[in-house]
Amino acid sequence: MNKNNKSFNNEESVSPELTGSVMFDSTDWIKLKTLQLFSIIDSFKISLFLDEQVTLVIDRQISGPFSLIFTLQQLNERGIHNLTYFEDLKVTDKTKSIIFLCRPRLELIQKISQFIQQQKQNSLKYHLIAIPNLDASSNYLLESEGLLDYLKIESYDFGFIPYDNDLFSMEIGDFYSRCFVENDNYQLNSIGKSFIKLQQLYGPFKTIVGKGSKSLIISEHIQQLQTLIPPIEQSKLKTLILIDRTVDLIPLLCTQQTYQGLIDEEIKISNSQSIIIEKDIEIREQVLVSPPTQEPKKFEERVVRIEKEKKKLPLSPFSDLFYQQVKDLSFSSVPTMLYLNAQSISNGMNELKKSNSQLLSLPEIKKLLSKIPDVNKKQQLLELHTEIVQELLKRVNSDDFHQKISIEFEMLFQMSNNFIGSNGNTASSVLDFIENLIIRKKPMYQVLRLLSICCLTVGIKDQKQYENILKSFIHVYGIQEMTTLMRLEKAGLLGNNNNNNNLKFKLSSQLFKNFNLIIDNNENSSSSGKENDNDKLKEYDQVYQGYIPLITRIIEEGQKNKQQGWFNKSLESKLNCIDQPFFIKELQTTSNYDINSFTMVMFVGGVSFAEISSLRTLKKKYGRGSGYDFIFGTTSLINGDNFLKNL
Amino acid sequence: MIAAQWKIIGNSTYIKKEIYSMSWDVDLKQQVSVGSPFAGPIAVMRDSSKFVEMNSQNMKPYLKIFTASGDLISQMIWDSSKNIVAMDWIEKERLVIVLQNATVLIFNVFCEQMTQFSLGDIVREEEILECKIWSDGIVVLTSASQLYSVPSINDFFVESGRVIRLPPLPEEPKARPEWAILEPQFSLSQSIEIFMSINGTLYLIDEDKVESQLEATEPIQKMVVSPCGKKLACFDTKGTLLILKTDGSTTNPDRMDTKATKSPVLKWCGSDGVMMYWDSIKDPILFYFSKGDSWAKFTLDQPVSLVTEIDGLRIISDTTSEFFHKVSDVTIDIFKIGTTSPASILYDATDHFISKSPQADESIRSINDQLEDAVNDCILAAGFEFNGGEQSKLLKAASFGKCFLENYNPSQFVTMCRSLRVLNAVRHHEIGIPLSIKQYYHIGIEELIDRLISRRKHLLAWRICDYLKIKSDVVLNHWACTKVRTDIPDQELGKIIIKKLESVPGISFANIASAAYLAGRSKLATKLLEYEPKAAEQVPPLIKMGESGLALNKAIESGDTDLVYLVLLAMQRSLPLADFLELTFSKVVALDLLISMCKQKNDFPLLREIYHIKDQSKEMGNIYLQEALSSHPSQLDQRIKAYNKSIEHYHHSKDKDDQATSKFIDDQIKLEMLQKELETNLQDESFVGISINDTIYKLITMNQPKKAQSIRSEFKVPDKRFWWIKIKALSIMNDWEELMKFSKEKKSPIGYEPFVEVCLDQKNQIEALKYIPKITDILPKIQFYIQIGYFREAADIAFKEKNFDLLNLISRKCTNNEILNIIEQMKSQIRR
Repeated sequence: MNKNNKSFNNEESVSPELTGSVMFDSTDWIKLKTLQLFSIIDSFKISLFLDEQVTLVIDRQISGPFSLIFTLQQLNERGIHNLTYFEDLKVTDKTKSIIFLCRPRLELIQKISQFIQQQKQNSLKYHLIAIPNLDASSNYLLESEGLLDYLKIESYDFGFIPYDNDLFSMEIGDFYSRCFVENDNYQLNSIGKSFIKLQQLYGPFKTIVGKGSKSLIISEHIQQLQTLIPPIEQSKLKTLILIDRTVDLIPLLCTQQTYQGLIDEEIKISNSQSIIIEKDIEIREQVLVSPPTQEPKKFEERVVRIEKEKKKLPLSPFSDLFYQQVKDLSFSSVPTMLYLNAQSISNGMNELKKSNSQLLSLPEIKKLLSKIPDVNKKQQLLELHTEIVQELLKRVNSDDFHQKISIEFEMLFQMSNNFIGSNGNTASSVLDFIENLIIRKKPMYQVLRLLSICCLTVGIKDQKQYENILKSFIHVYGIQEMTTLMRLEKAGLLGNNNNNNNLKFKLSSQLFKNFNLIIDNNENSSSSGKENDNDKLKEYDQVYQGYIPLITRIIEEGQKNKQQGWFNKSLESKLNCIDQPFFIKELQTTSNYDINSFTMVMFVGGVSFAEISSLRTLKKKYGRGSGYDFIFGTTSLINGDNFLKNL
Repeated sequence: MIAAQWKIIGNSTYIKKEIYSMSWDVDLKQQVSVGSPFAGPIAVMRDSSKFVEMNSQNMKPYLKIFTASGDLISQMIWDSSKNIVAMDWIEKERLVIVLQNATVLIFNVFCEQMTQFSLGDIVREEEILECKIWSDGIVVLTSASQLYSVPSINDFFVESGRVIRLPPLPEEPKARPEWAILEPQFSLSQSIEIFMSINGTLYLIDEDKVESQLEATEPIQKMVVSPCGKKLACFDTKGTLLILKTDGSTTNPDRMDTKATKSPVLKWCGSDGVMMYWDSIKDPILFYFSKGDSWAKFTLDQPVSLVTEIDGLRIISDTTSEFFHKVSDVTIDIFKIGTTSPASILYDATDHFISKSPQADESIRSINDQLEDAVNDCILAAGFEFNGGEQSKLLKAASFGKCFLENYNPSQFVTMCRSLRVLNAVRHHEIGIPLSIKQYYHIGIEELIDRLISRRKHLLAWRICDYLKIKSDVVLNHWACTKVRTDIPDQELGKIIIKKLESVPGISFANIASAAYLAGRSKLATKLLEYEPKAAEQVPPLIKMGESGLALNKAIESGDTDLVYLVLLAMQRSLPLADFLELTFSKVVALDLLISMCKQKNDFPLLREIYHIKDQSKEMGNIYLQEALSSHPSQLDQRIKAYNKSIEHYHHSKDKDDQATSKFIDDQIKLEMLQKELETNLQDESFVGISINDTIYKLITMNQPKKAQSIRSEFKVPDKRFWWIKIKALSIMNDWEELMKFSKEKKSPIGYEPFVEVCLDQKNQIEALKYIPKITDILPKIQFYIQIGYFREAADIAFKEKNFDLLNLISRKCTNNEILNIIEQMKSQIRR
């Protein structure tokens, strides 16, 4: 009996975060979104009794978020039996109704128009569900082509889509380029409305604080509509922190080093649900070997060729407890956690064996047998993560990876030591490294990320060297990538100090000093050379080795003093280094707030997994109820590569 | 006195009271008239089935619409060539006329056609035998014995109407079948259902199936469903009236044997009983039947038209409009001869009080315990009265009574006073809407307001809204939309409308402006739009009116970029390009969004025009470059032309970066021309679309080193990059001899690590071993030895360098015990 208790205690100690923690419940939110869409589909009066085939044509960009909320079975129950994309538009003989589900992008509106024109002789019924709503220009285009008579149009707002217990994303892929680069504030309205709906379900915010011009606009939207929120006695939402992406782009461009972030970097997480791994499969065949001598011929099995097989692995933060434990940890500690968990399972199996051999009574045997499925499930999860870890180790152990990390840190380190001479030397050595990557034709966006970090941090002093870099870049990757360079330049990520571009996000050295973004040099150098308990403990807190993102520091300091934190003049003066509006708004509310009220952090323009992990560490550091119980919202989940691609 | 008009029929008391003395000039002998329920209007038209003498007065047939009080609302000349199959009212006071050619026309009370649609070619070909109209639909029986249904006429107003075919009849009818409609709101299937008598069997037909409800019945000549949807009245060939249940559960129907040889008109009186009307020139008869054996007979001196209401029956003749209905219990209690109910005592007591008789006090005391009930009954009874005087008396009695009650809640009294005031107003002869209290509660005040609006009785509608403290936006909006169609001058009319509507906060002006525009009053429309509070409602009408500049200003002020896009699209479509750009350039916000939109749509010509006007050389160069890149690589002339344009504009720019960019493009032109030449010289190979590096790489793999060298020189490829390309290419070709030769050509500018790397990429350790000794740095040298498993060699190097840490590194990787021992010895020697 004591052994069983011991085993239980061991299991508990392995996952301390889950003990007594309060999770934000997003189930109600999913139900609300599900009901909203189904009421729209029901309003189309699709007859379930007639033999009408209904086809749902879905925008590929939203098919992922869509699958997170709806299942095929639910669609079948409402008469939708066919699901296809806009690229595969076609009509079967049985099709009677077509529902288009998309964001009203111009190219999709044009496809809808062309399709309806082609199919005019068929008496089909057309419906359009526009996400979040049909904008006036799309409506105008449809009206101009005389198609409004054929289409029944409804609006549906995904709003926030839960990707994890504490993570919501709106998955607006082109948000940054449209809102920040093109200065088109169209989507800010939708964000404001989503916050209103969130509050209608979970209760009103008490305070809104933020940094950035777009965040300010969103907060104004929220204030205008706050009267729509009914009185709720106990609110689960207390503080809303809105931060523009432009406050700090660097964490996005740096390589993510948490387990989850690294998976997203190297393998790519699809809608928080699955990943695809390519494995080399050896094809073996019997071949006839003809030896040079007169010996009799014999058959020998040989490897004829190697084919690549794509393997899809499930990866769910909601149901995978091991993943919950380790996703925010620095990858270097994950193999250890894997080993400890495997040992725990092994002990569990041994307990079962010992118990069986002791000829226990029937109730005790039943109790033990009931543990077997749990143990098997854990074992399967560990096998899954073992496979993932092995795949990541291949890439992480390469020299290129280490050098990349080293270069990134060196650029950041120089920002906290503002030596003019060193800056020049660092820039030169960084550019040499980048040129070397270009020469070896490494992945293009890897090069661009490093170049962007260089421009945003130490800057480029040598114009000629920079031009040589660009020349090599075009020689290797082709002239068509000139447009890529132009987009990045327009977005303010590339270019010289002389550039008059209004999107100027270069961080100042003062910021690095004000917020201690770089861990002390001595500690860092010692940790790189030795391994001891202190260093391992620090690794838990540093999702980027030696570097803490600015946004994490801002929020840490802002939430530190409940009464004075955000109103602290010291914090405000530090933030003045960033030339963007900073605001604090107290909302009128009659709700009660307590230890279970959450703080929501909204990243306007996108966020990476590692940045979220960096903020989650604050909760571990300060404990529950200190203002660090976060739920996160973002316009989209991104990493450095797809951030640059979507510009 | 009131009781004298009552008629006892069975266990119930009925009254047939005159509501209006009709002022119309209708002769129901020669006219067909249909009345709308809920005190609705009456449509009258000449009955083409009756033979009449031709004279000057009835030479032209008219469709006339009257109020329920007989006041003419409107009329129109009807084209005699259009044969009418059916005419009836649907909800919201709309008149539906179905023609023989399967066309359906819908009119408002002003004889203005609202819309029309067809029942389909099939219906027309099969010919309509009979057609029935219900509150929102139509059912047609064709000569082919096929039923068709319009499930919703309202849907045709929103372009989604349809005609559906009902299941075929189960047997071929020997005679014309009689049928009745059960509306969807009452049916089990929530869709239209038809009761039909065919050859002695009663069937129930819905959209999917046919079921038999009763068999072996006498053939039914007339059939009608009650307003509550639960009862079906049938008149068979033997002259018997039966009352069935619509849910099919009839076991013992009420029946009455009239012994009549001719079938009557059947109309329900509420849901209580059925009125039968035999239209005889000599002796017209009304015969009323209720449940049990209760019946009554009325003799008439002129033809009548009957309109079923939810609580009674309107009887319309040439001279009067009467309402026949069951008397309410509370009314009976108060006014029955000899009654001693508390309410009647209260009623009498009030009379005594007014005449200052001391008996009033005695009467009140006698009903002290039941005074509250008495008060409430008087209030209810007042509601059932049409006569203002009697209403007043009853309300005074209630008011008198409640003075003696403590804690009496007066809301019921207040509500009734208000309701009666509204009802009395609309019952006035000039308005002609004789709603009963039950009908009023059934449709609600909103629908009554809508009906007044649609009749253009805006003043009364507004006063009612004001009196009841409800929103009058709809009234004022409709009033203004009607007003703009009058002849009042723009300036004066604008003042009138704005003054009237300005006092209502948040009211929308957009609809009124649109109506003004459609009426040809552009200036008035523009002025009215100034007062529209919502930009999203303001901008589309301005666009339609051609006020582009104003629309753009409003869109920008609203901060909604979507609105700006809308205006830009409309302007681009409707304005000449020069005007469009001039207007857009005057607004920085609009210009930025226009550029963004052009980029989304890849509208290069417009972008060039914009940048040309702005004199932005850099952006112009960018556009031409993108245009070049978006054309197919095989269209070399087109690409080069665009490239040259791009270079030209980059040269004009003052930015040094742009000069560098133009150099890159110049190189690209040379590259593409060389690539084309290479394709000509080297058959079956494709170079178009690849980069300089890839071109060199490809040439080396094709064993064309001289051509590769030529490209290298042309584009000044630095040594480092060229060496990497060549090493990579030679290794892919497995040309190890050439690789070795190349490595000896001169000292490698990139070191020898790349040589080892590419050999290992091709899994050729033998070749890799040739280059590892040449590596000068110790660490990568040892790492490569470890990578290929040569731990002994790695250890030797580390030992020679006397590097303890490196020996540790090697020992951690090594799995060979023998070598591990050697390493341990080496470490011991170093330590010593």
